[in-house]
This record gives sequence, C-alpha cells and structure tokens, in this order.
Amino acid sequence: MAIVNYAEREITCKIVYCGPGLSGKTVNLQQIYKTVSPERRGELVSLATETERTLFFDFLPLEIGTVQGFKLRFQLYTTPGQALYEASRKLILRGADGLVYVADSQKERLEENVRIFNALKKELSLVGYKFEEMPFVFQYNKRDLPNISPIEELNLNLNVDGKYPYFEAIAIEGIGVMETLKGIMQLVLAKISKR
Amino acid sequence: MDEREQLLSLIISLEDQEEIEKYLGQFLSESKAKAALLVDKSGTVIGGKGTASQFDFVTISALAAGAFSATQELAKLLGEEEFSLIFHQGKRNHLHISHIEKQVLLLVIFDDSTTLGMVRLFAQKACQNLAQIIRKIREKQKELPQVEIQFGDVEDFFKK
Repeated sequence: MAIVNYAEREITCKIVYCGPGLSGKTVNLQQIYKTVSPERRGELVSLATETERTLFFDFLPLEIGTVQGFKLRFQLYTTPGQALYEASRKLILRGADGLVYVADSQKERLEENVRIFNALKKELSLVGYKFEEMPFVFQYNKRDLPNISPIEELNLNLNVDGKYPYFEAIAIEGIGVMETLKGIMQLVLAKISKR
Repeated sequence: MDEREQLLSLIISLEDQEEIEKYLGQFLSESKAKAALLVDKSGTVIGGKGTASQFDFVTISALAAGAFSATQELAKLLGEEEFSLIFHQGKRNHLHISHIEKQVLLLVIFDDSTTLGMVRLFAQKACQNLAQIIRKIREKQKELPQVEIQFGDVEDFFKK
C-alpha cells in the first residue's frame, strides 16, 4: 500500500523479498546497504536468530530521489524463508507494493523453490491480494555454484508463462542485486503512475 | 472487513496533515508524552509530532507495526478478537502502541515525566479523533490528482 503524502510531498512504497530459506534474501539487502550511499539509505535492521537465520524480517529504508517535487522512498523487507514462520510471513506481506522472489539455483533446491512459490501465492491470497496484480520479479541466485539448474529449467518450473522478469545473481558478490532492485522498482512505479 | 480496502493507497493532503498534526499536538500537550506517531500497519509513518527527534522514527515504525501484527496473531490464538494496545516498559523511555482503526496505529514514546495512565487516557481520545480523519481521507482520496512517475526520473539512484 503506497502512501502518498501531499503535505510532506513524499511517496512511500514497500517491496518484500521472499523465497525459500537460505536463498539469499538477507544478503540482497546487505549488498544494497553496502552499495547505496549513506545519505540515501537508513540503517539495516535484522531480526535474526543466533545462527543468523531471519526470524521475523529484515528492514532497509531507501530514499531514491525527488520526482516532480515528491520525495520517493522505498522500504525493503525480507520474509523469513523457513516454513515454520508462515504466520510472520503473512504479516510482512501485508501492504506490499511489489515482490521479489529470490530462488536458490542449486539443483537440489528446485523442488523447494517451487513449493515455497506456490505457498507464497496462497499466503498472498490469505492477506487479500491477487498475485496476478502484484508487481513481481524473480532473482535466480547463487549462479556461481557448481550444481545449478539451467535458467531454462528454472523458468520452466517457476516462471511458467514467462511473464515475469528474471535476473541472474550472485548476491554474495553483489552481482545482479541492484539490477533486481531496479527491475522491481520499475514495475512498482509503473503501477503507481497508472493507478 | 473489505479486504480490497487495505490494498488502496493512502493519499494525505496538506489539510489532512494539518489536522493530524493538530490532534497529535493536542495529545502531546495533554499527556506530556515525548512523541506521537501515526503509523500504517504495513510499517510506514503517516504523520508524527514530538520532541524526541533523536529517535529513528522510520525504523521504529516498521518494527512497532511488526510487533503489533505479531501480537494480533497471538490474540487470535488465545481466542481474542484483538489486543487493542501494547506497552513496552523501559528504564527511561516507554512505548505505547494502540489501534486506531483497521489499518492505522498510534505509537507513543514517553518517559517518567508522565504516567502510563495519562498516556492511555488521552491516547483513547486521540484515537477517536484520528480515526475520523483516516475515514475522511479514505472517502475523498479518489478525487485527488494522480502523480505521474517515469522510471527515467529516478535512474540516477542506480548510477555508481
């Protein structure tokens, strides 16, 4: 739910990174935090367990720039990937303006990618969203690992109709991270302008 | 609840903002709290007032909205419709979160120059007034002008 504030001349949008556990959602936010200059971002907040698994969410506010006199802000969230935390995931999805699905490219994770993707669609409908109407991109992460599925196979299983943009990434090295962010922002802004 | 309603954007005009700040200001002077924030349940600040400018309101709002939502799920598991307020007690600063209406929360930061009782009492009154403003914003927001944003306008954010 984008908030347009005519008094403060600000527009605030929420983007949520989802995907199976350990696919690299938090790493995406960490890389964005490192890349963006400090005056255009706030602090990265992580609610994680002792073993650095995301417990509730990560949060990173960004200030993108000024457009037609409006300050444009994006707030990035990640959801916990582990199945256990379905309830928390639903809370974070509430109010989202766009979604990034971070998939783990490793062959043995393909099934889990598909399962969590289907679960996400269900969780979205439970909080009152139509998946088809949501700005959405895929990020195929961990492209540097040896045992990965080819892009065609990932698309065949996840991006079935090929209608969503996808980005290859090695998030841990920052490769593909900003491209993914740019991709989802483009879709969100297009949707806000159309509204 | 009409689920579609929460999907609509909230558009706040100058006039709405003035009214929100008026009630927040009134609440602060009555309750002697340090800061009051109006926060959307998705974690975004709608309006704020107070002297506690050393705090990072953006992050506080995101975390408080998360904590509040988690508490609502706890309420459901206990067979309650909702827990309508949360109170976090610190050594110096305390945080009070109350539910204004379905989509909006009131966050209050206060210290020992006032009491929980005072905050609760005046927060209740403020919530009623603020709920009216939020309803009004919802009703009229379709008439407000649209913002046209082209992606090219923000492209320089990605320049290294």
